[in-house]
Amino acid sequence: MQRHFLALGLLAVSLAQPTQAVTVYGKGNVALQHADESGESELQLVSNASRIGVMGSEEISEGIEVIYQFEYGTEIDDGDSSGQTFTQRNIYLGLKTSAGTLMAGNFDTPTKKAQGKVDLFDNLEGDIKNIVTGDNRVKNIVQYVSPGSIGPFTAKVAYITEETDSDAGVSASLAYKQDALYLAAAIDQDVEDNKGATDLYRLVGAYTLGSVQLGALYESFDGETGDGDGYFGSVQWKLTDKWILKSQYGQSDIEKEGRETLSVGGDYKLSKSTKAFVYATHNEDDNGRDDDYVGVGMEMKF
Amino acid sequence: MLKRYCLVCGLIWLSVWSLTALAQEPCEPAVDLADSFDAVNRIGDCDYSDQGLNKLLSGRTQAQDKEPSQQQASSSAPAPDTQAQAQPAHSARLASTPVSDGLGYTQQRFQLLQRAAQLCQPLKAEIQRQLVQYGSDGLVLTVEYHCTSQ
Repeated sequence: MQRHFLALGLLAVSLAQPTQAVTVYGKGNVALQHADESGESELQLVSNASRIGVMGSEEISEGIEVIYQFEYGTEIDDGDSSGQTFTQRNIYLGLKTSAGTLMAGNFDTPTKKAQGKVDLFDNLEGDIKNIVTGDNRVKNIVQYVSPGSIGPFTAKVAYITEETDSDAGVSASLAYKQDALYLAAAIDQDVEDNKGATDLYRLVGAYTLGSVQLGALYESFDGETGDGDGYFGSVQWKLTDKWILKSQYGQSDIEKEGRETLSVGGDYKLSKSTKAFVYATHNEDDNGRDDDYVGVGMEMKF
Repeated sequence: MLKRYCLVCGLIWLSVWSLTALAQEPCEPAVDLADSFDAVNRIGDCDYSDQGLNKLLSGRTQAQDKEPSQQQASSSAPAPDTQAQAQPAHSARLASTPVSDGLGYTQQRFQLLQRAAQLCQPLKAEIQRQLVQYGSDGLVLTVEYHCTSQ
């Protein structure tokens, strides 16, 4: 309950300061899906990373800005997540200068952010976190981000304190974005996730060729539970102004031996901020997982 | 004659270019910007004050600000410009899309000033600062303004 008041309080404080550039944003994403998990099937209503947040900046002196983001997840389907109406997502406070940004809080590591937009079924059953690790949002993280003025390159280095677990971790990335091309390389060392402290590196590429967007990702993992690698590819075709068709495939032995994921789907743009979507996903591995999902949903952004 | 012809052609081209530029969507939805890998470098680049919940909440804060000023006016001498006083003081920042030539820069600057004036209505927009940043796609002009009744 305290968290609710905190979120609403922050929202109220932000809105009560008209001289600051504050943006309220969010999205609702809900889907009705038929899940067939290892032979047992059921109809499910799922909320896919629905959220609300505020972000903004305020110049405190010549060339120095305070930037902030407070983002909370909300479950459209259940109304709460483990008793919490709002769950913490990306939250930080930082200082931005011409030499770069220093920020601290609870947010996605550089490795997670390096994936860019190659995951076309992000937050659905076909999410790449099914086959690769390193998609972490961590607590007690301090990060430096290079300034936008250095051109198409963005470098990030993050230090995760040993406060959460016994080991401090480091995550870093270098991304290049120029017109239709996006390239990124990222590395994690001793970053704690559900597989313990892990070391990994990740390479990402995406290219937009007219109405077609191609994406690929490779990851090599070395953790407490073993090692492995995985790859992933996606293709998106903007058929018309309204219709987008998309598909992605991934294979890895990182999360499980012989893990494979295949998704196909389509988006139909209902308005500038709202879309309807359909998808079908198949996930399997050598340990007997053989799951199928078919769903239809809607997403509204604001 | 040739000079006039060139002037007319230039104005027509400028009008068409202006409409095309206005039709573009330079900013993605705010939630996508917040989710992007370089969000911290672009956090102040787009003005979302007239979009989605921001528009609704902005209207609400204006209504809340309006009440005290009306109460003050009724308890003392009538204010000379109550319509202007009913609008809250407001400062904001607008950013252009990247431009790579002088004409584009002039056009983008005009659009930013026009937008600032529209957002301040019925007050006037006082331009406080103009910032120019060099990026890979060209110059990005940022205008900071303040709404005033002066």
